[in-house]
Amino acid sequence: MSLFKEKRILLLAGICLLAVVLLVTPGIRYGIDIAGGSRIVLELEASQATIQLVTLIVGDNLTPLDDIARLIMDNLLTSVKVVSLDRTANTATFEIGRSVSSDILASIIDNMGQVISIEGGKISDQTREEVTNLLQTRVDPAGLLGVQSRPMGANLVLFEVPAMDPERAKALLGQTGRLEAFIENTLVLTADDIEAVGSIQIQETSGVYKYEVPLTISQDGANKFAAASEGKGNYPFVIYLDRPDDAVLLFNNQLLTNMPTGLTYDNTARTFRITISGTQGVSESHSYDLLVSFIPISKDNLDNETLQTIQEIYATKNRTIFLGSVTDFSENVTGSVKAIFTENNVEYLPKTSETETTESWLQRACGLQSAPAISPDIAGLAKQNVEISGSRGTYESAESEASDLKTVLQQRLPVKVSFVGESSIPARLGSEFAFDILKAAIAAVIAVGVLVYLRYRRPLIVGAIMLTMGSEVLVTIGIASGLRQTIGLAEIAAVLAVIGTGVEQQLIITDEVLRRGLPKAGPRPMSLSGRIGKAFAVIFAAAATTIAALATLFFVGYGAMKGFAIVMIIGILAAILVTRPAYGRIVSAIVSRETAKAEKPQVKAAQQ
Amino acid sequence: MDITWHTKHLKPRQMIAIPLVLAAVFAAVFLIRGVPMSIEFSSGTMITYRNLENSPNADAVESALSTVLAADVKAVITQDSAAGTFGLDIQTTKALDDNGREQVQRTMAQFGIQTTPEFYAIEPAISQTYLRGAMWAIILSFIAMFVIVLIVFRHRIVGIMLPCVALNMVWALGGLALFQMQFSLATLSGFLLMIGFSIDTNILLTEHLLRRVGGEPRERMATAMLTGYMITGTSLVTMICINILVTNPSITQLVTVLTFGLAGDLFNTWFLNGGVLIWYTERQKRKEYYVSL
Repeated sequence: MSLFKEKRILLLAGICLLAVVLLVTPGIRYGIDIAGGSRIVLELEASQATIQLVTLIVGDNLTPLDDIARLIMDNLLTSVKVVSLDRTANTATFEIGRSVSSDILASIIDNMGQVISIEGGKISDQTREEVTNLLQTRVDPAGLLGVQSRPMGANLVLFEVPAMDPERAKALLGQTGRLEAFIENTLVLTADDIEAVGSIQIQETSGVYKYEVPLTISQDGANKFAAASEGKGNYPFVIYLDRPDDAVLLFNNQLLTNMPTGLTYDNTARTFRITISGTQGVSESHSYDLLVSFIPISKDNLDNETLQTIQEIYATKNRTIFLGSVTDFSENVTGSVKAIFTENNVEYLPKTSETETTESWLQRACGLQSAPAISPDIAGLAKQNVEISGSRGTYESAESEASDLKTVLQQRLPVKVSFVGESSIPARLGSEFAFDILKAAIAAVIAVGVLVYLRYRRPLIVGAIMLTMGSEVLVTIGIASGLRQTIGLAEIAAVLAVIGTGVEQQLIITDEVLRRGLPKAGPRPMSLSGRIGKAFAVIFAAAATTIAALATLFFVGYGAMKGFAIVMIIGILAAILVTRPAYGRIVSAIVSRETAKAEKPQVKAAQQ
Repeated sequence: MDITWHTKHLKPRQMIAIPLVLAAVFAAVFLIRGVPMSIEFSSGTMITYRNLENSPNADAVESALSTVLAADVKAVITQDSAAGTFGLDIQTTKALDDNGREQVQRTMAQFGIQTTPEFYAIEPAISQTYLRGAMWAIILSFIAMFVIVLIVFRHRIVGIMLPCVALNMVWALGGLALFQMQFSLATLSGFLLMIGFSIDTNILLTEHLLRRVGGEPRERMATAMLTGYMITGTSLVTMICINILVTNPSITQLVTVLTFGLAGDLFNTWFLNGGVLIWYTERQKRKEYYVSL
């Protein structure tokens, strides 16, 4: 029998094999309903300040508002926008992308206006939606993961991320993407100067993997770099991401007794100074400050002097970070700090491991990304390419670190985000549900088989339909897994739809081939291939229509609908391109064998 | 019984009247009873418990609270693997006042949970923007479908297919209203599925009536209808199997939509669309003698 040499059948076999391979590796990625995931609550730290303007706003000239917005933006390094303007009272409400105290704001706007009120933890719906969309793009750029979010409380957003390592989710969701670069403690570049983020590079040198994230800087930014780096060859170019300049960092004063070389603590600047000694024949050494407030405390009790310092600082900072875990400080200490900053604004930052050096721990606490020395060849030049680099112990960790950094820089947020809580949730439907689905699928297949048998009375056709159904499910799920689409409830529905429309179309083909109930079928009976062609006209029209509908759904739709659309488009394409032609071939083989059998005696009779 | 009886004996006008009357009944049911919105589509309250020593029974909490609050409740157990403790996130469609909060805490005490939870007001997970997007998706997909069937069949009359599909949605909404089932993400998937299924039967009918030659239009319709009933029949049987075997509310919602939608499809395709197309082909025939190739 030549059926197995037929191209369409071989194509089907090949695609099924590919699907099996894709199901084994990379394998099915289940949705949150089936596999569980993490639930993350983020706080969007915007505040709304109402300011009495000094200049009267007349007509369409909103320049005074823009001036104030720019001033706040430049000072607080965050986004600012006007949410409302009251022309009669000449006041305007600004949304500022971080929390800020009224004293700080008053000192920034100085004589341009007067701060009437400031409301922390308030965010406009528009900004909240913008931030939510950006965050969703960070964790789920292609929309295949099926991340769900919902606004909660005044300024919280709840995210549900299926099967993602909580640490990774934290790295992607919890960072604002506020980049700053300093030369000699002077701000040179900010995230606004970034035009594009290039593709990451990873190089291995003796077991250490060094990654680089190249940034393209705007012409304006390059000029600023040129001016600032003039004559500063070998000076460090210090790059921070999300520098906690609104926090005070408390560390155990024991740290000062055992300082590694190159690290000093400056009591008046209240920060650490890192000195990089000259490398490769350069004798001069340069240093830079970690631009965050560090205060040494004793781990057992806070003396009055330190407490007073912290209280003074509280006027300008609004949260505190302990360098160490909860147990590294006595309750007495943490309690009195909590009394000043309130419990929600106290965080802990322990070393990642025993082997982490003090220097890298401090740098991590400040959000310092890298501090390369400026090569003397480029100092003073308008350089448009800047790299952020770092190194990790394994290729995978270097790659994920670099790609997360890239994502965060590409999707910068207009407001500061912070973690409120994160917990893992078990599968909602679980294994019992999977078993139920399996039971139902088997029962449905049997029921369809019985119906088909009752109609056609041909076991071979029933077999062919079942086989095609099975291969279609296999191919759909296989290719979906290959595309890294998460399989959740909506996607299971799409697979059901694929089976449903699949059976439909096979019935159309079978009916055409068997030519039931149409006695006066034109002037002469049509050939078998002609009849199959007719059936395919219906099927292609139906498939084109459904794909058109699903494609719009994919482009406009919401998370779960996207998954549904993708899986169903895969299924329909697989069906009309691969399984349906193969089925047509199988059915015509069955039918022509039957007619050949039936016609044989007649032919013999005619010959006699 | 001859299931194609109407194709031989009814006038197009009569064929069209039957599905319109039935659709009106379902529309009335929908308008009178309404369809409740699920948690994904409505605002409400999120109640969170943390640092529980034992994992609570989410199903029991759900049923107890939904009775007490007389609202839809969804409970999810959370886990803090570092601390080894459990938590409970309860979402309800009801905005809770102090009284409601107290009721929640009293009910939770029955489960041995005495701690005070945090209460947050929550907005719909499907925000207004997304809903607007979804509306656009449906409108655009109808336009896209219209364009494709126009290209394929080259008769303006095929546009009648789209109201027929839309009427199936009326049946499905009526079905949801009848059983007071929620409109949720699962029902939304059901609607999409149903659109796919019903387009197929409508195209089968149109193909047989407008593009095929040989025989009377009414005979060709009867032939197509036998295939069409088989198609819808297998889909309905599958749905019923799934509904009997899987006891999951989302699946039940999805299957309800499909069952009513497909039942409606039997009428909206083979009476409404069929009636209009028979009227059209018979009028064409009268206008000019229809030559078959």
